[in-house]
Amino acid sequence: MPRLCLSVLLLCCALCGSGQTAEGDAEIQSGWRELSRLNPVPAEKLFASVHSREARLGAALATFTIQPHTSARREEAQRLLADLIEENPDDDYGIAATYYRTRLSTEGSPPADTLTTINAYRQLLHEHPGNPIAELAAPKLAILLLYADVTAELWEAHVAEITALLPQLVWPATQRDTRLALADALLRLHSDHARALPLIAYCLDRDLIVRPPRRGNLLLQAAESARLLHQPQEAIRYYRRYLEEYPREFRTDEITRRLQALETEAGP
Amino acid sequence: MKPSQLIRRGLLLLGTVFVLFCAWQALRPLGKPSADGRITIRFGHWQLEPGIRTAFEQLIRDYEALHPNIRVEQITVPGRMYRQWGSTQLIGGTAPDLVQIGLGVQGGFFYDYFQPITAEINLPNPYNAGTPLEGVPWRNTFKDGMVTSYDPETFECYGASLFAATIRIYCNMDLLRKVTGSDQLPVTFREFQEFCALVHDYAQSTGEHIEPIAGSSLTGILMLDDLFRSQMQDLTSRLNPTMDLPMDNDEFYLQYLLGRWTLKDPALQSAAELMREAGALLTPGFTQIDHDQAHFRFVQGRAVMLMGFSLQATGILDQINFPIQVIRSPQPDVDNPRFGPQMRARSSENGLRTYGGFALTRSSQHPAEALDFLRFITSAESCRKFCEISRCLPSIIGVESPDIMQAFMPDTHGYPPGPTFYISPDTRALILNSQYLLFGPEASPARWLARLSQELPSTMRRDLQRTTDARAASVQRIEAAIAAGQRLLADHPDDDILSRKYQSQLETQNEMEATVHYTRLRLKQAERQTGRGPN
Repeated sequence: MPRLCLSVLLLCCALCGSGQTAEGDAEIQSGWRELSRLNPVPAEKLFASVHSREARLGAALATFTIQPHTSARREEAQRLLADLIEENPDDDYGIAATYYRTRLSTEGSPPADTLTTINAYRQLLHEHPGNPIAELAAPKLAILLLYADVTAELWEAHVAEITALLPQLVWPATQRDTRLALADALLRLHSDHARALPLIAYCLDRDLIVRPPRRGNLLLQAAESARLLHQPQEAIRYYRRYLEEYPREFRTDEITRRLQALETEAGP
Repeated sequence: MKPSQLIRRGLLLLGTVFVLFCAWQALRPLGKPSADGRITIRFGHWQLEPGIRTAFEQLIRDYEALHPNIRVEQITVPGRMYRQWGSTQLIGGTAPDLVQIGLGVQGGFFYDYFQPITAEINLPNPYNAGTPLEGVPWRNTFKDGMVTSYDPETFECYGASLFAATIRIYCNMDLLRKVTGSDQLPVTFREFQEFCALVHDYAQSTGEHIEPIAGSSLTGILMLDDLFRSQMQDLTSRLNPTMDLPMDNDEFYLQYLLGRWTLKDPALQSAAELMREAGALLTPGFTQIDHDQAHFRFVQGRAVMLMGFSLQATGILDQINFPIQVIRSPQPDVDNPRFGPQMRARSSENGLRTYGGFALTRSSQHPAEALDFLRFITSAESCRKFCEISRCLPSIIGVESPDIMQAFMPDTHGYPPGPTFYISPDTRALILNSQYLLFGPEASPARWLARLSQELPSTMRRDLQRTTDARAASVQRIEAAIAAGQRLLADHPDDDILSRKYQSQLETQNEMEATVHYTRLRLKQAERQTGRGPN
């Protein structure tokens, strides 16, 4: 009889617990939905009603986002993230907390110094290869390294570091954004078409670029780089694709002229 | 008291009462419940052009017939007080359900006061059922793919519109014939100068008060900006590091601060000369003249031409009894020995872009119904009807412009125009405040450029710093929304709409962040190079 009572009690506890979990899950989902629609205040309330690690991560992000940004909110968000990291730095929430704490610290008062941020990104990528959140650090690291005010020699070392990172990235978005950050810096700072073209081509050929205006710009950058590098067939391919995708733009007429000139030059 | 004084005071009192009444009408809080129990949704805008209001009234009647439980109210607010009206209503939480975006109600207002519709635009518009657009995602039913709905500060889409706008010169053909003896319209800048000279000769010989083009401050900005950009084509194409043409404005400023072009460059000299010559063709004192006055002079037949927007067409056509034709603002041709060398071709215009979208406010009591109304008015059939009545340019795919408006359609032929001084606030203010040195009796391009050389570095730097700070704030503001998108996507990996939004936000954030760091680096390099600190 006592065993039966215990079993019933355990079953009740399990049922209650599962009910609470389902309810908590629903609130967390609603919290994320509110946050994704730029509604941090209701999101914060939803997250605050649940005590899981995921909810505390959501609460930290919502708290940080609520306007006006105050030092009290910033500190509260940082504290919530620090607690998550201290409990377990290696699960998804610990990794996310580490990433967002680094991101948020750049907006702190005073902001974290660039080297500390760079090292935090490096560490995330090193310790959690393939993790979708940790990988978000890759393009951020590239941006900080490539636009650092450094000597030409050190800049080349930064390019080498980012280039070495590329094959390790597994998520398409981070593969895209890290490559494009590198290509952009190569073009804008050094007009280095030879190294920029393969990076842009990688993203274009795999249809990784989502936003149409940016895709248009990158198609033209690829075509122009190919033309300068004496690769007329590649240039023609990108010009044609541009005209197919953007037939009625203010650049269309000029691109048609350039394409015709290249086709005439290249012959049948 | 004399009777004349009494009348004057009476008129003054009457005028004051009228102004106060108008202000009360525009600023009073909205949102009273409907007496007949129907849901009331309201939309506010500044399009006072008669055709547009009438067209909206027709769509309201159509919508109410389909939804008898809903009443729709149109609120029109004069453009001059639109920003004050919009901000008061939004901050007070009493804004209409849908508010037209623009004239100061944009940018910083989005995050706090408007509901993004980024996910919704990926779903089909149900009011396109039975048409070739059935099942097509809402965003893809717009000729511009809804690019103008995208807010770069929040990385979200807000609002949708059913019309577009272009800039053209309206021409009174009767007056043109009378003055020049021909139907020939000027195409190039030189022909435009010859035409203006003919009109001046005619006015002088006959004593009639006729001017070639009704100048105003708006005309000045539109025409001079267009001419300035034409002169920047060659210079900026040569300097653009990414070669994706045209060079963007920030890069143009950075290259100046880095000393890669100067005001002594032939392109700038040529632009200043061209602007001075164009200014001489406009009404004396045009910088102080309101556009309404220019409109009035044109419809009265006192000016052969008027530069304005396509949205003015209905207002103009309803007020005149003479035939009109429209042309693009004349530009030099590339063979022009003075101004042609800086050009690659006549400036092309972008494809049709929607204008003045309506966005859903966060304070809306009936967001679902308001969104439904927005879908209704941006359906192919509503857009067709709206443009037929208002003579606006349609924004929806498959809807043709009314015949009379064909000449207003964008002309994509030519070479993209270069960057401009007229966009960024501080640089634009410098240009406008110093233009008396270019157009006055003792003015000259040299004097104007000398003034610019003193102040341009600091105004450009301030504009770049402001833009960069705003971008950095956007990058940080969107962080939590991206994290939320990532979490939601982890639970719903097959949700294409969610995936697209997340990918797009991430892509934009990284692109914008790179631009922030690039600009800061270049500003630092420029500072080091010139030894000039931030000011």
